[in-house]
Amino acid sequence: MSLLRRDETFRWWYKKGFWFWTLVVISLIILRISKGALLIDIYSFLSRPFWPGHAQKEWILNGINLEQQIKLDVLEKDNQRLRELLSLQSIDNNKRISAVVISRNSNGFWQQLDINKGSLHGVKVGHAVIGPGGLLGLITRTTMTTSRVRLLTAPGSKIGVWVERTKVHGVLVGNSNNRPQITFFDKSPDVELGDVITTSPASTLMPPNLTVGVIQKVHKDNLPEPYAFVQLLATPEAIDWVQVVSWK
Amino acid sequence: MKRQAKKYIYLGLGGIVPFLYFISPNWISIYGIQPNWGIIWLLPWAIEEGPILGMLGGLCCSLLLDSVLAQSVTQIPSFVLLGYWWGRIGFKGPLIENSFSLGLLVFIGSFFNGLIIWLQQTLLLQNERIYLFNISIFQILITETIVTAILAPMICSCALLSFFRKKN
Repeated sequence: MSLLRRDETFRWWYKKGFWFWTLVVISLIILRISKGALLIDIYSFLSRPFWPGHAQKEWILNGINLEQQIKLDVLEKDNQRLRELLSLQSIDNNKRISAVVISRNSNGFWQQLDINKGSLHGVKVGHAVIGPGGLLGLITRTTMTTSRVRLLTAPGSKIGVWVERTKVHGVLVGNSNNRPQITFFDKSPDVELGDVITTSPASTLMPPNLTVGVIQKVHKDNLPEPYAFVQLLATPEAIDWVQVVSWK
Repeated sequence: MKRQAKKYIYLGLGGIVPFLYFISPNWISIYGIQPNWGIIWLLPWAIEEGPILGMLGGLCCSLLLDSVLAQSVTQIPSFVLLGYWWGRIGFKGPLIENSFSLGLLVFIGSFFNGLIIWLQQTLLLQNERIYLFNISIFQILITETIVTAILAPMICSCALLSFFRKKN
């Protein structure tokens, strides 16, 4: 039996051995040319259970966030120092007053919020109110313990803004919906969809560089001035806490 | 309770109208737009008390609302006119008690009030370069009219029965 089996093995090797080794060598050449792509894929597949988990990823992301926060702080301080040197207005970070929205009429004819901080807490008419996302509106009336905020969307609301990318100035006018209109001073402004709008540093009524929204639709051919619609970033319908900002 | 006392209580209830705007319950709204609570309060008062007291009620209510919703436009003219009109209807016409009539009166009144606000906001306040016919304000006007007219028959009927009319 054993002799017979050995004969059969030998016979297989004798008949197919050449093709077997040819195939092996060709496979290895392909592997060599592909710089071991298959091997690294196999290794990746097998080692997947041992990869670093989410905890390590979060730790790295936290580190990145912290680094960016520190950079932002440094830049803000630098910016404030330069603005003071040039005698321009800047936001007083020490005078931010947090307030709760106690009444909200942001969808009807009356586009306004009422907040729970008033003149006793240092809120004054004309102070800017910001929420998560950016500027919401301006204080129009204060009592001792409450204040009324006129939203940017309110008819008749006007603030000076500019396009962050190209520094094109315009006036943002409320028109009762979530997309106020910006009218540009230039006849052919360099504005594109998605451009970020911030409050104008040239304005004497508003603190500078507060984020307002992004350009959603542009009418460059309108006469006498081109205009665009702005999607606001701060949504008053969903905000419960705001900050009142004063500037110096 | 005497009819006169009930009338004064209803008059006092007008004082809670501004608070309804403060509370602005979201579950009574369409797309966040509230009914016009002042109009709902004014209708039963004007129908039962006549044109003069209707006008006075409208004036008081609109002054109250202007004090909490003031944005350089006023609701006084529309409220006074509506108070007078509803007062005349209540005094000279047949007894208004079915829900459809109440709803229709409030629908017309709310639309008229919204139209006055719309005209003020469009003609007086806005930048004439934007456009005269502001579609957003028109949408608000229609929505507010509908939500007010839906709610009014229920509240106005209850108010009329509870505060003004004798039980059979």
